[in-house]
Amino acid sequence: MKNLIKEKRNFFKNIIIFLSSILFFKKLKAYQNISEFEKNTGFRNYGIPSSFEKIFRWIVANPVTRGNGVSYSPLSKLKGTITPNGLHFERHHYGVIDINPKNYELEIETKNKSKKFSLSDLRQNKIITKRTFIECGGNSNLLYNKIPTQTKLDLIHGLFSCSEWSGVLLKSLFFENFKKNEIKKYKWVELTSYDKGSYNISLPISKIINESFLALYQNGEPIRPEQGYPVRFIMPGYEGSTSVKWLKKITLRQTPAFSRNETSRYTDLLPDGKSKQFSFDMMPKSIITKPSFGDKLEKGNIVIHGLAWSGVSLINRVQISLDGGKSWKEAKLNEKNSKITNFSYSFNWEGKPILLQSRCIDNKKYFQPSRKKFLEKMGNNAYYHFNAISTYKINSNGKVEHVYS
Amino acid sequence: MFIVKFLIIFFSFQCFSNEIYTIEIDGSNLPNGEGTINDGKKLYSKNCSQCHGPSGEGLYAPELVGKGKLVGNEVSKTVGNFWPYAPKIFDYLKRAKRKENETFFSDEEIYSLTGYILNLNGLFSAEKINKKLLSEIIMPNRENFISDYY
Repeated sequence: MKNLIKEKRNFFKNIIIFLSSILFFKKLKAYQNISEFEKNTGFRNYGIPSSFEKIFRWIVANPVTRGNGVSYSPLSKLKGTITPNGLHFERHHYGVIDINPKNYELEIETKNKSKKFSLSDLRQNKIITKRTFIECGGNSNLLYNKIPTQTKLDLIHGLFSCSEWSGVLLKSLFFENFKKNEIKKYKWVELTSYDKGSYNISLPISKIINESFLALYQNGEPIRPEQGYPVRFIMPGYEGSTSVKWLKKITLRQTPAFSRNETSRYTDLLPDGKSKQFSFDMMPKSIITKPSFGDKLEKGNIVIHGLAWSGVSLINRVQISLDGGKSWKEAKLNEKNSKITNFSYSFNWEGKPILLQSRCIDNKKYFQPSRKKFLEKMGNNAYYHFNAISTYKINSNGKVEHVYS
Repeated sequence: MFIVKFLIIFFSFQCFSNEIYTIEIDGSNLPNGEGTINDGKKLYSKNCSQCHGPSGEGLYAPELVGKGKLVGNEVSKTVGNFWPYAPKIFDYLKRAKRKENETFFSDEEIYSLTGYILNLNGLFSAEKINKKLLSEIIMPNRENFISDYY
């Protein structure tokens, strides 16, 4: 009798395994997404990367609250300045939502007037295109730590990505739908998201009115759900927390909203205990992306690759130091006078330990500061807006290590 | 006709009750109603403690309670020692949905939770909390925010 029950159980178990393996292969097939037509023609309707390349975002998520966390762009594996759409970093406070454009509505609201826009209303406007990076205010903040963290470049600087975004200028929406005098009455906009926490942030109108826009497309295609589909607000050069995803409402106000994410978070706690609020600007920064932590160098010719960017100016020069900042040599820029550029530098490595650094200089003669100089002003508790120089030690065995100098 | 009117009123009420609006820092547009610290405690342990810790000390979600320092080594930022405006605790909770079933908290529940969090931080000691009492609380860190814009 017992045996019979056991046999029955085994039989059902096998059925379940069989069914779930069918489901698994179905899922796998769905992921690869090859239709009969694609199979027969040998073409793909939407291409995917080579199966021989394993490039992915690093996910660090809240283990209890689903959807809260970050994913880092794999900067150490990427070249150029444009981040592929599927590898753009993410910071979600309240998870991703997938909005059906049929139900989408954007509201612009003043005290006297409210105007609503559908997605097709927005798409019918004049579309402008800008290459602009988005960098989380907390990017690189591991470098505030007292002891250098030995971890991948991606996990230190990877809350940074750059795309060619297309969308509608905020000022054209404002001035085509509201009277100029009506807009001029207000000093701030409050942006509210459709996400689960109704995320909101305030921005000063005079600073953002000329450049900010509502992004509808990223690198040519409609922006993806995890980037705020269908509409994401972008103010070029401002910290990522201002690029509100799944934009629901723009409210014109006299004062900031003083929301949680502009008081308790995204403020810089300074050494005297004061907290700097509305510190939107992402200052000039450069990082060496190759070599980086985890690499092992061989003696001989070494080619350094890196990225430099600025939210407030144009990058004019990037310099490389092999002696921890005592002397500097000019790196070669891929683009001059640009908000973002690649750079490179070649040298012969004889196998002695070196302290490798890069620093950028902008068109206003701002020099990316040393970590020491930066911390004198910001202290160790600011948490956000770290833009000082990073130092890699190349050990005599060729291994790359993070150090402070 | 009556039914249509009723439905319009009913649904507009439904929309209104789910509408998120921003609570101002002076509490001037806080809703009426009140909550109790006791209810706040019950609501907290049911909906919040799993992530924020049994007494607000932080776990998977940030710490809410504590009077740690904001200068020197090992600073700790909590609602009690860092948030500048008490009515914004209400504002933030009004935006949040219950993890359990993704519904919003009622205004009474939010008053209760706000009061309980302030109570844990030693910033509020009465049993009941409402618009007037919440607006009157001056947070310890209120004057320590600086900005180029004001």
